[in-house]
Amino acid sequence: MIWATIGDIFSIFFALAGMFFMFVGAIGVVRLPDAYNRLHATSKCSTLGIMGLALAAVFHVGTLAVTTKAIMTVVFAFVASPVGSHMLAKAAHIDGMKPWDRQLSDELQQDKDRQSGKSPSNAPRGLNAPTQAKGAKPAGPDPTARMSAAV
Amino acid sequence: MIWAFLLNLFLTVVYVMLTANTSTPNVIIGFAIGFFVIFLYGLTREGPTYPGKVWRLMRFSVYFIKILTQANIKIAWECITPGLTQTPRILRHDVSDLNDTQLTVLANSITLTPGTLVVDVSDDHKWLYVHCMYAQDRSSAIAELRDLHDRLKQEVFT
Amino acid sequence: MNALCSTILMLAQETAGHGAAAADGHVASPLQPVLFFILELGAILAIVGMMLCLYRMVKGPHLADRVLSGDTLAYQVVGLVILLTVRMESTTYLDGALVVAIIGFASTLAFAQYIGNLKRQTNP
Repeated sequence: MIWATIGDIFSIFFALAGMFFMFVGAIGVVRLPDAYNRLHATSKCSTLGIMGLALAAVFHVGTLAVTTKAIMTVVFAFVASPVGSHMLAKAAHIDGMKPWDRQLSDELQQDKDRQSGKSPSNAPRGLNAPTQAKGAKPAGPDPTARMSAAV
Repeated sequence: MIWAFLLNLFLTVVYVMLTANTSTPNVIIGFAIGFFVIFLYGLTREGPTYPGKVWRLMRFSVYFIKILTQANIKIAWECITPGLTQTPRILRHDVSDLNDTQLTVLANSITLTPGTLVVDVSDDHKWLYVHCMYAQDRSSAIAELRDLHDRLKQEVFT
Repeated sequence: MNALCSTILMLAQETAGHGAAAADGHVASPLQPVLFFILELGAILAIVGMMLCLYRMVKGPHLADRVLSGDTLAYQVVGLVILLTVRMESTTYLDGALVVAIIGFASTLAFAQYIGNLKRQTNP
């Protein structure tokens, strides 16, 4: 009885936290301005959201089968979600997605332009452009290094 | 490290099969006995011991969960309050001192933390292009990445 | 507030009757009706989140926006299935959660490959 009560207290706490982060992730997917920022919201949904709900299941049910399956689900989410986010961001950048107009600088685009020999087409734009020009630009990678064109 | 852990699991399975009892306390006792046996074996060799490695890995896990929670709350606050205050930027981060396994683990850790997202890796595996959500000051954003980088290199891959 | 209290009381009576009927070994804690109310709230929140993801999937300006909203939708479904596991106290539903997560991951990877190859095909 007393252990069931303590388990339910933990279960309520973790269920509330998981639900909050799941819902805020969905709100972030709608509200944030471009695809890179929305990917941050997706990673929030899949890390703390899934982990909180799985911990709630473990504390409420508490059998060995549920614990093993919950650990498998959480480990799979922790391995799969960054791989998916990374590939999606890389594909969006290759496809030339237009970033948010308040993005400060895009050093990946600068390096790609430098390697393909073009003039830097992606000059800093938007509100905060002088902040980027003020800082000393670090040494970029070797210009002869070839960028991969495929994902 | 990973081979020692697999050996530990193997010793646990052997103990459970020998005692023919698959209850949870018995599995835990078998794991503890395997842990102690591997620790004794490690004393005959040079280098860090098995409990030391496990302790450092657990310390890194606690640190990682802490920064994960902090970043999650920060981005959640950004999402639920009106107005957009983030200052995103794609910046490059020097990873020329890591091999491929370390680079994969570092990139996954960076992407798991909300607020930072790995967009691309340069073809010679020397630069990591990270999309940071709060990077008004470029050097402080780089310093946060460098902290995670150094801790990963010191505490996980000794 | 009044409606909320009456809902909690109704749930409490329901679960009390259920617990008395099936009181063989499993003891229910006094906090169980609160937990079940929170789970129903969570189901509603997950469904609202799925609708938000569908809105982004319809409206998204770039193809990557649509794909990532599908990814988030898969994770919302996983969360819903885990909530069902807690409510039913059954172990079988978590297999469904794992399958949904794997399918969402595979579809994300396939769409990412497609988006990355899109520009090379149109203007080589």
